[in-house]
Amino acid sequence: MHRLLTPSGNLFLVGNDAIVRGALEAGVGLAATYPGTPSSEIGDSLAEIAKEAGIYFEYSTNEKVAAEVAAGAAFAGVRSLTAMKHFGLNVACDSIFPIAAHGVKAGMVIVVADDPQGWSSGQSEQDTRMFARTGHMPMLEPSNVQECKDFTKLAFELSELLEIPVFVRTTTRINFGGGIVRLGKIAKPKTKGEFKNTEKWNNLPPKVIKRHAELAEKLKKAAAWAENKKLTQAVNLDSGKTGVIAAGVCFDYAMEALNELQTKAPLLKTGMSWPFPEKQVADFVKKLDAVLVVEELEPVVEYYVKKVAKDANPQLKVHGKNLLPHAGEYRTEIVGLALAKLLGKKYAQPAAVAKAIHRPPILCPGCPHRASFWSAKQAAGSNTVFGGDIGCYLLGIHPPMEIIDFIIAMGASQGITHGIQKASNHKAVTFIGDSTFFHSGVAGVMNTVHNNSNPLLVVLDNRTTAMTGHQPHPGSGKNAMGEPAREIKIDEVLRACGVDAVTTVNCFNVAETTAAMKRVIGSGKLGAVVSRGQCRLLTVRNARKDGVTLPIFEIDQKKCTKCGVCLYKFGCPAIHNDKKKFYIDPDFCWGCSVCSQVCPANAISAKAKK
Amino acid sequence: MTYNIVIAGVGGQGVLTLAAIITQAAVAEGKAVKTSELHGLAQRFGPLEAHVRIGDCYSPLVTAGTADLIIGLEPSEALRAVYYASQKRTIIVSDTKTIMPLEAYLLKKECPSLAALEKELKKHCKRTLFAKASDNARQETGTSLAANSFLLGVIAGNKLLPIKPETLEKQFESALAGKKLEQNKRLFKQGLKVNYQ
Repeated sequence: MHRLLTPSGNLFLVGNDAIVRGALEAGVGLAATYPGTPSSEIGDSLAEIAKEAGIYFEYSTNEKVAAEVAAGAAFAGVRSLTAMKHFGLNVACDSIFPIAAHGVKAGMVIVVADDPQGWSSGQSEQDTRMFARTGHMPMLEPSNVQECKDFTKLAFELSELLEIPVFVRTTTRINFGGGIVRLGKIAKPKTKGEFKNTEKWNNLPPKVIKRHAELAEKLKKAAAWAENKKLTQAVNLDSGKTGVIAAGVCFDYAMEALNELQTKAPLLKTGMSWPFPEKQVADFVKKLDAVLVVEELEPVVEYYVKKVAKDANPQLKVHGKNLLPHAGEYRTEIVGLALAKLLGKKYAQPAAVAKAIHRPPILCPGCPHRASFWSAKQAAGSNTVFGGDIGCYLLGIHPPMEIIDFIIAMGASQGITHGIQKASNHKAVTFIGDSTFFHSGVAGVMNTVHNNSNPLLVVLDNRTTAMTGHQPHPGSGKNAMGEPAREIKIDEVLRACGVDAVTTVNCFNVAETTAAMKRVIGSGKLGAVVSRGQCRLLTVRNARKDGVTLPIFEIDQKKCTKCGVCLYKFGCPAIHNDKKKFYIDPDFCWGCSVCSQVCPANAISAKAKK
Repeated sequence: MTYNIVIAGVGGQGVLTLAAIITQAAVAEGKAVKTSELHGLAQRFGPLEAHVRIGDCYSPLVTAGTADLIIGLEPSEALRAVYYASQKRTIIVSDTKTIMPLEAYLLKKECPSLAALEKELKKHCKRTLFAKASDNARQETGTSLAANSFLLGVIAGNKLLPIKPETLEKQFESALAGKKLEQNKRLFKQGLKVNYQ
C-alpha cells in the first residue's frame, strides 16, 4: 500500500503530500496538473497513487487545460483538484475566472504555489493572493503541513457550498516543509457523475451582471463559513499591547521568534486571504496599540488591516513593510529582528555570512542541452539573437555558453523572437524544450509561419519534463497513470504547422547536429531541428537501476595540449584543472561522449573497461 | 530543546536522501520532527541545503546561529552553511573532498584548499570533524556514491545525533536493495568505528 493511503494514525508528510492526502480525505475523483515547482510533487504523488486509490489523474498539456479538465469533472458532479505554480495560474486564469462566474456542481480546488525568493522561478517573484480578489473566489492559506491537509479538505466543502472553485495558496516553504500529520479517514471517491445543463449555467449578458452580484454574495457566505470553521485563529490573547498578524509559514516564523525572544505577544493567524477575515481582525486589533503584519511579498494583509483599523481602532499603529522586506522570502531571524525592534527587546543579529565560493546552478554533466548549445554556437554566425524558454536549458544563460539572450515565460521564445526579427535585421535561433513546446510553443510556431519570419527553431527534445522531476508529456508515449498513450511527434507537428524543413538529430552527435543547424541557417528560410537526446539524469538513473555501466571518459595527458576548450568553452562540471593537468572526475562523468567530440586534440576517449 | 541539523552539499550529492534517512529514523523513534528542503532548479549542481529539526518547534527552518549539527557533503558548502552555526553550539562534520565550481574556473578564481576551509570553519563552530567519506567510498565500491553512508556512520558513531545507530541503519533497508544496500551498510558500519574523541 502506498504510504499516502495509510488508513489512520500519524504520518510524516511534506506539504505537497499533505495536500494530496487532504484531497483523498475529501473524496476527490479527478485531478489534473501540469508540473511546476514548488507544486510539482502534488502531481507526482497523485500519479503514484491514482490507480490504487481508484481515482483519475492526468498531466494535462498545460495549466489552463488542467484547470478546464478539473472544471469539467466538477460540472459533472465529481470532486476535482488542479495544482500549479504561480506562473501556471497566469496561464490558467483565462479559464479559471469564467469558471467561477459560471459555477461548479461538485467541489473544485485550485492549489497555487508561490515561490518567494524564486528558488525555482527564474523569471519573477509573484504574489497570487490578489488573483482571488480579481476572480471572486475564496483563497485558503495553510501555515503548516497539518493545515495543508485540513484546509484542502475544507476547501472542497466550501467549494461545494458556494458552487465555485476555491483556491488553496501555498509558498515554497509550505510545499517542501515536512512534519507529522494526524490523518483523517479517506473518503470513498465518487469518480462518475452526470452532466446536466441548467439555466443557471448560462452566463451571457445581461446575466453576466447578475452572476457578478451573486459572486459578491457568495464571498459574504464564505466569510461567515470561515468564521464558523475558525480558519483565522488568535493565540496569546491579552499578553500585551503589541500584536502580530501573520499569514502562511510566517505564522510559524513569528511563533519561533517570540519563543527565541522568550516573550509572548497576541498573535492572529489569517487562514484565509480572501475574503479578508475583517471581523476577526477587527476584534483582534481593538485592544492593541500596535500590530506587526508579517507576510511575504506584497502588503496584502497589511492593506486590509489598515482599512479595518480605521473603524475598529483608529489609534492603532500598523507596521509591516516599514520594518520587513518587500521582496524575497522571510525566515525566523528576519521576523525576530522586526519583532524585537517593536517589543523593545534584543535579538541576536545573524553573524556575517562566511565567504563561500559562488556556485550557481548549472547544466548537469552529460546534459543534452549543453551538446545542442555547442552545436548551435558552431552553426550560427554573428548578428544572431538566441531566444530562450522555460526549462533546465535556461541555464544556458550562464557562462561559458552564455547563449540564451532572454527568458520570459513558457512558450515565449517563439513570439518574442518573431517580434525581434520583424523589428530588426537579426538572424535568430529559438530554443524550446519538448514539454514547453506542447505546453504553449505551438501557437507561437504557427504565428511565425503565418506571419513569415525565418528563425531556426531548435526543439530541445530530452524526452521528458526534466526540470520539475521527469513527468511525461504528449510526446512521451505514456501517460501519468503509466498507460501507453499515442506519442505526438514533434517533427510531425512542426510540419503540420507549415515548417517545411524539419530534421531530427541525435544531439549527442555534434557533427550531425551542427550540420543540420547550418543547413537551415544557410538556407535563409524558416526551419527546425529537433535536437533529441534523453535527459542524462534519467539515463544515469535507469542505468544504475538496471545495473548497466555507462562509459567513463578520460583525458590522455600525452595528447592533451592544455587548450582548455573542454572546461572553459564547453563547461562540463565533471572536467577539472588542478593546474598541472586537465582531468575528468569519474564520479561525475555520465558518459555522454560530447567532450571527446569537442576536444581539438582528440585527447579524450572512453576509458578502457577493466 | 530542539536538535537542529543542517545538511549542506552540491545539488546531486544526495542531500535530500540523507535528510530523508535522518528524518525517517527520528520518526521511527517516535520523535517530533520538522523539515525543510528544496526541489527543482536548486538541485542542478548549485548549493543545496536541507533542514531537519528534532523535537518540538514551530518553524521548519533552522534559525541563523542555532544549528547543533552541520553536515557538509562538500567542505565549501559546509562553509556556506555556517550562517546557521555558532561557536557555542555547533559541530560541523564534513567530507574532505572539495568540488570546484565551474564558475570559479571561468573567472580564474581559486577554490580554497581543504586546510584553508578547515581553518575558516573552526572559527565559526565548537568543533569540526573531517571524514574522508568520498575517498573511503571510492576505495570500497569504486565510486563515491555511497560516501554519505560513511559520513552518517561517523556522525552516529560520535553520538552527534539524538537517534540510535541501529534505527539509522534500518532506514537503508527501505531506501536501497541488493548490492547497494550491502555496500552502504558496510560503509555506515566503517564510519561508526571512526572515533574522533
